[in-house]
Amino acid sequence: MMRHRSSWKTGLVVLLVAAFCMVSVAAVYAADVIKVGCCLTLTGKYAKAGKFFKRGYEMAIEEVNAKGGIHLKNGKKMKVKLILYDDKSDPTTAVNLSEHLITVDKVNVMLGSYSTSQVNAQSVVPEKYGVPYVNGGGASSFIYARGFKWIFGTLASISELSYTEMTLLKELIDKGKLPKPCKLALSWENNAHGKDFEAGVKKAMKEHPGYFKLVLDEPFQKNTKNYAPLLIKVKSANADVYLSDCHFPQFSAQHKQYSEMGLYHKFVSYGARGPESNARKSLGDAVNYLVAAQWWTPLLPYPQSKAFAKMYKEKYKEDISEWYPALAYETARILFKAIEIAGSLDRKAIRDALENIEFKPAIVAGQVIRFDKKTHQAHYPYVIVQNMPGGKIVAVYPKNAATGKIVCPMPKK
Amino acid sequence: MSINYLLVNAILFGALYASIAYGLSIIYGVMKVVNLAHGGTLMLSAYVAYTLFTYLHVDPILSLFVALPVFFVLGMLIQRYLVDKIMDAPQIASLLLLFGVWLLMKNVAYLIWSGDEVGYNLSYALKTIKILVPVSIPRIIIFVISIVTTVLLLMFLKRTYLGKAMRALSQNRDACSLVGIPVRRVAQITFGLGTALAALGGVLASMIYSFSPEFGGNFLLKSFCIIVLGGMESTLGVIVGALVLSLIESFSILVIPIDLQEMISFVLLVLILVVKPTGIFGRRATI
Repeated sequence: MMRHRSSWKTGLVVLLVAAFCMVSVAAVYAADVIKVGCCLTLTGKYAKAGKFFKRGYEMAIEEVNAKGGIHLKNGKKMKVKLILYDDKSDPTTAVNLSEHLITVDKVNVMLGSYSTSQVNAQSVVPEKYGVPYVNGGGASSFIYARGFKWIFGTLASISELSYTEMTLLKELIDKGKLPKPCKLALSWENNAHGKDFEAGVKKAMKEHPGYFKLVLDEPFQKNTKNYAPLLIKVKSANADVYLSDCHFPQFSAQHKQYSEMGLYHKFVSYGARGPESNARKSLGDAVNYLVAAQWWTPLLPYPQSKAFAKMYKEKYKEDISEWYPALAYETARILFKAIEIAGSLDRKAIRDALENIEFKPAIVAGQVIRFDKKTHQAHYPYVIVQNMPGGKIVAVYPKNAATGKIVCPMPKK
Repeated sequence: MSINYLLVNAILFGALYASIAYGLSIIYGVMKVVNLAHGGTLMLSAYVAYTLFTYLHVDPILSLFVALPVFFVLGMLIQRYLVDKIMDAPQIASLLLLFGVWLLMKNVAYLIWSGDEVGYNLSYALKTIKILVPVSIPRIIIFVISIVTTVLLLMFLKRTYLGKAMRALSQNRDACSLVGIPVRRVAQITFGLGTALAALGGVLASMIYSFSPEFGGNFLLKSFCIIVLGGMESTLGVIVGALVLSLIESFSILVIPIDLQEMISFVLLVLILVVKPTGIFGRRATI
């Protein structure tokens, strides 16, 4: 009887020791890895962008892990582990998954999803739990106007986009390529994206009095199918320049009607739209000479940008033509740099590091990314490109990024 | 402001709207089923045209010879194996069922073509002919096909046995059974025809719009407005409703801001339902 009781006790002790060892090993393992939580639009309407974002994040993580991980103040190097879920391009799913990442997976920091709607919905969760969150997929300034303390965005604002285009227009006016005052027709999607665009145009007009005359300022609905009424107003305005802020479907439908109606302006831009391969596939030569502002383009001549494009091609066996992976890569790198500056996984220290970071050499135009202290949205100039005949695209602005000269006024067809 | 542009544009858009709304109208007229899968059919047929154009260089007009029979059969299958099972259930059952079919269609499209926004560029896309104002060839083609469809549809419904059976079914289903009309067979053909007509609208719309699996929803809402406006059971009412909607949409810019343009169809929908629920063609009109 005594013998039985003794072996039962021994067994219990062995079990407890084993359990303790397992917990310790798990704790040590967990402590050696920085858990980065992320949900992306891997399926659903933003699946294409989600796929590119995943690639960019993975490239940055492979890069940092190949160097042994992130160097912390205690002398240790910690590798990065990405915990990734598919938010199905649905804001509600993005919110639920973010909650899961923070409360169940216990991630240290978070990388953001793609699109303003996803980021806007999802970012509430890391803000609630005080988890540093950096995204490269939401550009609308209203995301950052909510006074959130833990949310950072690496996409320069849409108002900066139109402001950069206006700066280029001012240069063209100074060179005599456009008349002074330059008559401007402006249309924009009636949402936060469009309002940002309009704000950038008006800011530039205020800064350069006498340069521009706004002859049309017209919002339109995103789900519009019939653009003829808008374009008739544009035609009647008799402007020199036409600027319209829209997403791809709206751009495609609007510019098709613009071309059919035989409209002509000396300078035409649909914000960031125009250089996409799908644009030429669906609109053909009608996209020639359109001007677009981009967060990143493989045309940028900086060594770090070229190295990224080369690395991407080697890894994925295809040329990079979209900005998504570049901004995803840069977003992850900024987060890792902030962890290194913080020197620990203390969330507040990481947040403070992000707030004060001056990340360089960045692969975007201007080569430096820093966040606005109040809004936490990045500031840097856009690179402006122009479609040329034959499918060629050239960077035309800023000067240190230009690969060709802008054709302005556009030739008449 | 060019009134000519507004007028020509309204007529051309009216034709496109009509070709998109026929399918919804005929299914509702005969079977009293609101086909919420209509938007999905528009989208899938646009992808069929895109795929045939991109990989086999088939002009979208020629692709109609593939798309229409395929979607006719698909419609018949949906009616036979899904809708027919719940014909006697409250209308909410068919609404939910067909909404489910639409979601299924969307997910199939995501699976096959991904969520990318796509489109195709026809060699004649930007060639124009002057009819008061320059009008592109695809829009003229859409207009002509829409008019031909209206005429053929009216002739089919008035002059053929099957057409007459459909009209009879729209008036009294039970009486049709008593006089020996094969009700289920006619219902299947009607659903097939309505789906094929939706496919026609989708292929035509793909000639001027880019699209993704989410395509079709906006046109579905306009189609509701059109068939309510023209009279829910009237084929001729569809083209009149489409024309009225596009004329009001186009000319509204003279009095209201452009960003309120999309609201017009909903305002019209509510007004007609409240003031004249039978639509412009009134109570007497049938398919």
